[in-house]
Amino acid sequence: MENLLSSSIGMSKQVHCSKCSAQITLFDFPKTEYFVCQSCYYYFHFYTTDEIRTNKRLDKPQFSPVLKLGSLGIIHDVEFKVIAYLEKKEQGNEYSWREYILISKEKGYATLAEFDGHWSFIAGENFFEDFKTPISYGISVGYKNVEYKLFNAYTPIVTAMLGELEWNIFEDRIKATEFIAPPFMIVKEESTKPKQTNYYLGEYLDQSEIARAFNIDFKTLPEQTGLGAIQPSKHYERWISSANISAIALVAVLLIFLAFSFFKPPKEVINDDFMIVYDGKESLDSFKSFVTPSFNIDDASTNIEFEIATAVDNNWFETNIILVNEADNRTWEVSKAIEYYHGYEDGESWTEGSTKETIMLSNIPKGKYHLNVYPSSGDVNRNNLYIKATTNVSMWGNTLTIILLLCIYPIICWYIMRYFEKKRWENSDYSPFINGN
Amino acid sequence: MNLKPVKYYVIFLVGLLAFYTYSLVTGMVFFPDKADKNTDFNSKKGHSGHINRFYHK
Repeated sequence: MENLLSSSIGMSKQVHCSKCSAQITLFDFPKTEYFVCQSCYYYFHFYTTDEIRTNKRLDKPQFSPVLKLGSLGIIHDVEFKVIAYLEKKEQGNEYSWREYILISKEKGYATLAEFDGHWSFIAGENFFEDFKTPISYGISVGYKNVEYKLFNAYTPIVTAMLGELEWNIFEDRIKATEFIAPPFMIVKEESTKPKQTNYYLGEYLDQSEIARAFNIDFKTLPEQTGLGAIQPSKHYERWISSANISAIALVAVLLIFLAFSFFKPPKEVINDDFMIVYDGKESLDSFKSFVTPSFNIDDASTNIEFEIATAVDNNWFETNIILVNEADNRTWEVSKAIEYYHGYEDGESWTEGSTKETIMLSNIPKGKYHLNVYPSSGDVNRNNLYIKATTNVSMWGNTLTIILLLCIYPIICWYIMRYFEKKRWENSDYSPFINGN
Repeated sequence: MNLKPVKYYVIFLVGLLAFYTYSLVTGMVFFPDKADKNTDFNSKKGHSGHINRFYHK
């Protein structure tokens, strides 16, 4: 029990196993009270500085620790030394996970937990100095205005151990409750002996961070499978970013729309009621064609909307309208029907259609124009047609289309994010996705 | 706001806003009524003038 070696954290001491004579290095002497022989797995107790008592023989660990005992690592700019390796399982369940107990000269104890290749760094207020007891809301806890949702509640059992500890971990009777808000977790540990409740803060660490912290090869770390309980979701980040940037774009669209409505207001170029006369020459329904007064379009390019109305009653009206550029005879020909029917049937009144319609034309260039109008109707007594033509019409259709396009990507991101979260919560008995919905 | 995960989407949005502004400037309607255009009537020498209607008052 001699050969004291100094180190950056605590002191190292070498002892010989009283059962198999193997040499055991203790990395946190003289704080060490319990330690395990790595050869025969006997569990020893420093009863006094000079007296070591044999406790019991432990089971051989199922896995080899990937972080060697005594190795140094830097996490969040704090130097830690690995002093113990634990294999744990949940009481009543078969699955197990691994924990590495770390010690720092300045910050005391911390734990690195590894399950299915996912790593969590867990420490209390000795490490996270501003960490305080969170507010309990029953199935969740609140800390720094973030809600941590209940993910798991269990009784951990130590199945194997290597290294050394200051306390007898096999005497711990703990009920652990984990609340998550990825990439963070709050662990509540309630112990019966002594009766107390402690809270710890956990943070997800990527495999590359672990490899970098302990200066080991990334490939030596356990392969990742499934989703970690507090594995950060890149889909969540993408959803938040896409929703925020889309909201900003939406505001920009509305501002652009308002600016154009203000600086380029609608302009009426025709607003008149035209007399129409039944003709019946070309067909039984035809009326005499007519020409509207000329009007000017001053903008280099604009839209134009025609509103046509006539008081048809249980009848139809149809017209061809040709927009003619008087300078070069370019034309835009459209056809529109007005139908309005109503009646009383089975005790109920009904109506169908309307007595007015609108026509919208796009990209009409600057120039002097008139309309050639070719009416026809089932009602030969029709004698008027109201026409209103407006340029620079507010294009709500365009604006709504853009708004819909702005919604598509955030919706897709939200759906993927939700799918990811559902997969995460499949490992919990407390999933907020009830019945998997 | 972290734009890194959505950098290509941001580029798309800038393009979309530019296209929207262009549509307002030129009066381009995304869903206009169907019009039969005869917008090069004078330039086509062989045009039959099948829209045999009065183009001038």
